[in-house]
This record gives sequence, structure tokens and C-alpha cells, in this order.
Amino acid sequence: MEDVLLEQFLKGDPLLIRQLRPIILDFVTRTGGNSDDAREVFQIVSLSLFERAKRTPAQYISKAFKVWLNKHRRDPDYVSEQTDQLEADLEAAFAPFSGLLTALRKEDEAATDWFNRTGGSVLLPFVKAGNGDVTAAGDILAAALKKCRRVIRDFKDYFLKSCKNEWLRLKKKRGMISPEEYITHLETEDDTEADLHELPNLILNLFHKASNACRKLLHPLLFEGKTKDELLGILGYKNPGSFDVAKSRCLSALREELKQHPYFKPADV
Amino acid sequence: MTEEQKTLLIERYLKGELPDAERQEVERMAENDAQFAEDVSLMRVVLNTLEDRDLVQFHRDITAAWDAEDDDEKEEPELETPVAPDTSPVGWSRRRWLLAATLLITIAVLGLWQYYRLQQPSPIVNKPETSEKQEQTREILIPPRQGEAPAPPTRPQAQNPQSKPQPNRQYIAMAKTHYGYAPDFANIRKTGANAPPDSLTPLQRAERAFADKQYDKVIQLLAQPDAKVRESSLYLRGHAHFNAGHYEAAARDFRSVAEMKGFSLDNATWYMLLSDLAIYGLADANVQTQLKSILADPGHPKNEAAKKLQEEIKH
Repeated sequence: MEDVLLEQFLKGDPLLIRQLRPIILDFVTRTGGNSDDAREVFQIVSLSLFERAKRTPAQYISKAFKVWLNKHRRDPDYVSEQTDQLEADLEAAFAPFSGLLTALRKEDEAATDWFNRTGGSVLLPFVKAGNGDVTAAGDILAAALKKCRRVIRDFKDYFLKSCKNEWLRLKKKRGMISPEEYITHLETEDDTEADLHELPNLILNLFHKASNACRKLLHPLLFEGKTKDELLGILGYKNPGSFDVAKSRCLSALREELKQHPYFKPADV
Repeated sequence: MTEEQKTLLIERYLKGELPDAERQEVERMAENDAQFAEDVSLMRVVLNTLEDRDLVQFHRDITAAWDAEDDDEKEEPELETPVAPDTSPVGWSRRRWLLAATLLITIAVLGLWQYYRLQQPSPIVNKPETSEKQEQTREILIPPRQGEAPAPPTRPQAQNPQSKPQPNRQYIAMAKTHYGYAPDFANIRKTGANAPPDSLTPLQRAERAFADKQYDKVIQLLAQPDAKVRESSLYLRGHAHFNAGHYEAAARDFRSVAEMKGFSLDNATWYMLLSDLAIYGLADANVQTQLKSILADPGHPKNEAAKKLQEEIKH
């Protein structure tokens, strides 16, 4: 059974965050970072955990496939399209087996066999399209199964170790890491997987810092599920065209700000 | 095409709202213009992220909780003491009352303790003892969470001072051999290497003193560690005690660090073992338990060192 603290954390329990914060802050600031770095580390690890908590077996496989594909291809669009397609196909294939994840976590043999056979038959063509073979597909499935079965029994320990890894990953990326720090690296999650959460985290941080006008426009549209027609009335736009222009302006500003961010200018390591 | 028009076009493309001809035109532009392709790619991530309401909500909640601490630090610095996570469904206002009550009880307990201490004839004034008392109080006030991993083995305190083990040179030599070189706190010193001492925090000054092997100064500087850097301070102070030959105090500090289950947990368990080894020797049951615990964990950074120690015990 997973640590009950994980559930609390996923609900955003401020008391738990209050306890984790000084430890993360202390570690990051002691090892060459500042409070913003500590915040970023905390956010990325949190997003990673949040995403993991909702993950289905199909997503575990597509995520492992994405990691594999990222190592072999540079075209993000190709990676994105293939991963999305694979995930959709796997979801359809796994649909008849409800409770598959629970069964896998209990190490049920029949469920494991079904996962391997069904998942393998869907995955293999995608791996071959990416210049891989049966062995690569087997490795991806095995990696996904291992992650499906991972249970967090000590949330705090897991979270702090993940933060340590994430900070080392960020330092490595920024060319700040010293050779002896490689030795202390703790294996909890793949670095490549953590990397997938860095950009969304950056987007969300920039979005929260956007101008009031943009937040007023984008927030109800994206998060509150308001329709464009509803917003035209609420925000006082006389015609849909000017609303579109305002929205595009906000998204353009966000995109340009992103492109200027050091994330897109990684240090040469 | 303006930036806004381009964004609108990309957004409609990604949402599948464009007619075939326009869609093909966007794909052709992406093929011929790397900059445009990058914009499409980036917009895909932006929209995927911002349209995931649960994710945005979660991100906002955890960030607000993290940032709220900044505000609390500015407004209420006295409430910095980290508290254990509370699994009960208690509201914020009740928690604050509980915290206030806890502080009052702590003050009362410490006051009584101080009073009785002064009544006793010629007590041994020992700063780490204060730390031990605080730790005991902390243990009473903060019981372990349900499902939490067991705390590192504790050692019953000697009731009679005469029953205290006498220092054994052989044990001490063995502990020192396995301790090896003192950990390098270079990462920390690097940030303040050229800074004047006055501008440094007590922890940073203690780190400097440790590098200069001024262990008594380290202990003095960290006699009352700042709650914000408590783990690092106790860990460093533990090393200072060990190097100064105060093995009991070192064991206490490392044990406190291990109980925090922070970044230094694994290392603290190892140094706690060495401190106990220096005092009680190899035959001690608690030392054996600690050693077995490290040997049983192949991922423990000191697992190899523990194996060497075990080999030495066999011989």
C-alpha cells in the first residue's frame, strides 16, 4: 500500500509542503542554487508525481516509449505524434481489462502475461517504425511494467530523493555539476522522464506571471470551461474577431517569453 | 502575417479546425521554415499544458503553499520550527492553536527542567545535553506517523553515571579508521569563500571553522541551530563532535539527523554507527543492529564500507 502522505500531497496539503520546503531549500542553497532553483525543483518533482498518480498502464508504456524515442530521434513533432497514437491504441487495447493496474501491482501472473502480450502486439509496430526491434520493444515493456509496479511506501523519503536527483539533473544541464556529485546520484526516476515536466512547469509559471488582462481572458477559457460566446459577454468584447486577436496576443506573448527563456539555450556540457 | 495571426493559425491547426487546404499550407510552412515548425511545436506543449485543468489547479495549489512560506517567514519568523505532517483532518486555525499550546508546554517543560537542574548540586554543564533534552521533548510532542519507517535504533540512557562505558582506545581507533577523512563541505564554502565572516550565517561560519579543523568553534556556533537549517547544522555538529572525540554527543546529533529522514539520512546512520562503535565496541547489540541494517540495504551509500567493517569484525 502506498504511503497515505502521497494522497495528502496530491491534494496540495499545505502542511506537508511546509515540512518539505525547508529541507529542499536547505539542500539546494547549500549546493550552489538559490531559492528560485529550490522552488523549480519542488515544482518539477511535484508535477512528475501528479502525472504518475493518474497514469494508466497504456500511459506507462507510451511514456517509456517516448523516453526511448527521445534518445533516438530529435524531431519533437514525430515523437509527440507517435506517442499520442500509441497511447490511444493501447488505451483501446487495454479497455477490456478494467483494474489492470491494480492487478499488475499485485503481481498477478495472468494480468502480467496479458499486459505483455497485448501491449507488445500494439507497441512493436511503433518501435519498428522508430528503427527498433523486438528486443527494444521488450525492454520498453519491461521498463513500463517495473514502473507500474512501483509503490511509494515512504513518501517523504521518495520525494526528497527525487528532489535531490532533479536538482542534480538541472545542475548537469546548466553545466554546474562537479564530478564528485555523480557519485551521490540516487536512482529513483529516469532523468529523461523528469525532463518532460520541466517545460510544462515553465509554461505554468510564466502563465501565472502573465498580465492581468491575459489571465482574465485565458483563465476562464482554459480552466473554467467557459465558451467563447460566454466570454464575449463577460469580458465585453463587441465581436469575436477582437476576442481572437486578444487571445492570440496573450498566447504569442507567452510563446515569445518561453523562447527567450534559458531553457531553450542550454549550457554546453 | 503578424505574430497574432500566426498564433491563431497554429492554434486552429492544432485543434483540427482548419479546412484541408489551410492545414496543408501550415504543414508546408512547417516543413520549409524551421522557425515556424518550432512555433508549432511550442504551441502544442503550451496548449496541452494549459488545457489540463487538474494539472494547472494542482500546480497553482502547491506553488501557493510553497510561496506562502515566504510570506510567513516575513510575517511570523518565530513559527519557523518545522512540524511533522499531520494526517488528521484538522483545520488550519485548530492547528495554529495546537502549535501555540505545544510551544507553551515546551516552554513550561524546559522551565521546570531548568529549575530542577539548578537545584541539583554541581551538575555537568554540557551543551549537547540541552540538545538531547530538546530532542526528547520533540519526540514527545511529535509522535511518529502511521506507516512511517521505524526510527533508527535508540539506546537506553544510562541511569547511573558510573555505568557509563569507559573510553576504549581500540574501539576509537577502529571507528576513526572507518570514518576516514572528514566530509568535505566545499560546496557550501564555495558560495561564501570570499565573503567577510560578518556576512555569513552561523552555519556558514561553522563550515569554515570545520574546514579549519576548529571543532570546538563549530560546536559553539551551532549550539542552538537555526530551525531552517537544522538538519545540516546537526549533521555538521555531529562531525565536529566526532572529530573532537565527543562520541556520545556525536551519536546523539547523528541520531537526530537520521530521525529527520532528510537528505543526510543514510550518511547519518553510518556515522551514528561509528560513534556508537567508538563508545561501546563491536560486541554491543545496538552497534550490531545498526550494522545489519546498513548491510541489508544494498542501495545504502555506505553499504560497501559496512561490509569492510563486518569483515574486520569476523577477523
